[in-house]
Amino acid sequence: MSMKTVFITGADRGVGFALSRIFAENGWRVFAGKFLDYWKELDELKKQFPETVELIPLNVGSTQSVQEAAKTVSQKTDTVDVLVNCAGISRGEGEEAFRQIVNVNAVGAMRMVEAFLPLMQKGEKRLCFVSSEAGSITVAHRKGEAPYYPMSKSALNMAVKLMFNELRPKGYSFRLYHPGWVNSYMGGDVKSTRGKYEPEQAAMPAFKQFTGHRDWEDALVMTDVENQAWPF
Amino acid sequence: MSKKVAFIASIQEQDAWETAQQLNKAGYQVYGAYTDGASHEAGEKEGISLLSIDLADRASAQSAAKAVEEKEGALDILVLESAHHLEDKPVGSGRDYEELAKAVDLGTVGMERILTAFLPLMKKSEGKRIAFLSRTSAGIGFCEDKDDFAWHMAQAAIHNMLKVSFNELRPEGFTFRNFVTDGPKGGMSAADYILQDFSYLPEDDYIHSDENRLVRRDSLFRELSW
Repeated sequence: MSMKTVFITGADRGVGFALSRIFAENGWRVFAGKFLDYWKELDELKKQFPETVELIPLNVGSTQSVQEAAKTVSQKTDTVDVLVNCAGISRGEGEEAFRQIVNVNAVGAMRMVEAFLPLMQKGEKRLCFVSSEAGSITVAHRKGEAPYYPMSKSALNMAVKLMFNELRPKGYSFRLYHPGWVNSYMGGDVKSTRGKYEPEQAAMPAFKQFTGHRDWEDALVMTDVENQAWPF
Repeated sequence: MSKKVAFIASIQEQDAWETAQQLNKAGYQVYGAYTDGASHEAGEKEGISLLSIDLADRASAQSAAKAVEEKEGALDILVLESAHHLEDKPVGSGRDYEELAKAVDLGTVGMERILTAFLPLMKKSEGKRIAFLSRTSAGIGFCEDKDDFAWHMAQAAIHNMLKVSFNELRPEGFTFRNFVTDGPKGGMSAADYILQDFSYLPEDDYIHSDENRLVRRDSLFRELSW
């Protein structure tokens, strides 16, 4: 039986890195999107799994970078079974802040899907997106000024729905995942300590959902670490 | 007694224009703003006072708010509609992603700029009602579309923004209306829905009031999911 292949964006640290490790430990060939040159966790993972982990330079906010990543991967394999879109940012600057955030969190996932579709035709055809409860309009509990990060996650959820409408009839299946409040690096290079979960705790249920079967693939539902469903 | 005042964004859209006329007929002094970036003459048309707002420019929205403030002093109803579209190719055909990000930003933050600019006027009014005109497919759950990513993504982002605004402003007495304009013919018009009060008994539990939750409905008063 041939080894299955996954591409993971935002793999430098946090949930993306934890997912990269879990996929590698479970015998997958892992293409890990590396954005931060100075962050060395992925290099350590590569040393641990030299034959099956490949580090691919990637900025999902750049069309050229995504296209170069797809080209690089296509020279190493003809099939990507699972694409995990995990890259995200929480802040931008000034009047351009929302455009910067949505360009990574939502448009970045679209860049990846459309660039990697040719490599996914023969595989498992599983598209996974790390979203957030912050994008749930029903549940939104924040107050005050326009919350750009949550708004970008609502935009992501909508973009995923449009892609789902097009690609589900073509055999693709989707996972939309809320990882919970994770001790992540969304605020920068210092890991948060206020979250409910460590990245590994959010990544293990994600791995199970991203690789598992559902009898209801024709419904797009956002699920969390407990596999509980969240409304849009 | 002076007339109540309404301001409607994206007046170039047919449903926004019809809403303006309905509110005018209901006795409101109505202002409408073009937001499509095209050249339009300021002035008055069929009782609607017309101006333009550059969605990319926060100062432009603030100028429009100042113009209304100088004439009316306060604003009772603000109606938002985001109508920025980009022509798409089918998923998998690729697209200009930088243009897409810009379009989502313009459609979303453009509405935020208008809302922010007009809030001080609304806080001075009796009405304090914020409305949003959208379509069935603006709800993620209901959407069966496969293209027009920019418009759809902006709609979802705006819904989130409005929910957060609702959380902030409802305790200050603001009320919110989200009307789906492509519902069946007949039933309520956009203005009927915007002007309709929802059940609200201050002595009841907060959760039992229909006015204390944000919903979107169509002409038959049917609730649609987000």
